[in-house]
Amino acid sequence: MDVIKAGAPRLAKEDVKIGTPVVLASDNAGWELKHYVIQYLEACGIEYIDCNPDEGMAKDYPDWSAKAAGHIMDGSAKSGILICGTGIGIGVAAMKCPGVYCARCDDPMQARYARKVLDANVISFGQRVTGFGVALEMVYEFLRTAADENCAEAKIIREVEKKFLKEV
Amino acid sequence: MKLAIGCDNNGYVLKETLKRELLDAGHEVIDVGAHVLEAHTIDEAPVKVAQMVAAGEAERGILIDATGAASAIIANKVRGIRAAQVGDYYSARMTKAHNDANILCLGAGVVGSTVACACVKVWLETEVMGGNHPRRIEMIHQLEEKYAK
Repeated sequence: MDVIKAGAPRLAKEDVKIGTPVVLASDNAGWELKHYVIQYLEACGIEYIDCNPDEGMAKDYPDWSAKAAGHIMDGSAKSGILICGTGIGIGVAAMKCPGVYCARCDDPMQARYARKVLDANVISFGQRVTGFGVALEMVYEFLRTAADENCAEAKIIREVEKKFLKEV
Repeated sequence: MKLAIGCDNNGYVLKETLKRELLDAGHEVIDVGAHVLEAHTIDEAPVKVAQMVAAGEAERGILIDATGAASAIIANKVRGIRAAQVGDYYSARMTKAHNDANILCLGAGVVGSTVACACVKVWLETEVMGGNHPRRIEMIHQLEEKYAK
């Protein structure tokens, strides 16, 4: 399917404000929606790493959270998109890892806010909750929105994390 | 049930509505603030509520900010917390059934008061499911063992 023809907003490579490559992961409940995201990233020419390209039936979401978080922690990916049934489990597990700031989104406003105010580096959403049209609008806002400079909220999140997680 | 509730200034109005609903339903509510509509940093309530739930001082927690994301990111960094950001009834139900979420995060800029109340109600009433789900929760605990202080 041509996702741009189906209504997804065009995004020029130079308008991408988030770091790339984008790491992608899903469990079986997010498998189809992840493929729409892949088609969108390819249509926009954005580099990505797919954590589980051959394991569509892989069911335990924390495994995929850990793999995606590993790419963020070692710097091989600069941002991430995680998909499961609701987007909650895969996001909660990823947030247990240092340096992963994951905002679950239902709509583009939340994706924009997550980048602009929180400087979130990962978003998650759920295939059983969000259709591909809304999902790609959220991906678009996530990719194109820059974090505000010297944003207090983003700094607070990173400071608080040091209280609870080990430095890696 | 004994519940801890908290918000930043963006979530104050919705927090007051939810608190009233919970008290009317017979729950015990510990309100960690904000208590007035004033500037309140995004980490104060999430840290307090997460620590109370993790220590067993409250059975579950509810956090409200602009989108729920800031509260969820902060609370999930605390060992023993599974903080679910939701904006719909289905997710509120499933995150209890599948993830045994012990904190619910809501965005006052995303959900209106009736939807928020419905999410809280179904999350409080839903039972945890068996099957594969307890194993996945154990896998989240293993990530905490690896990274939490």
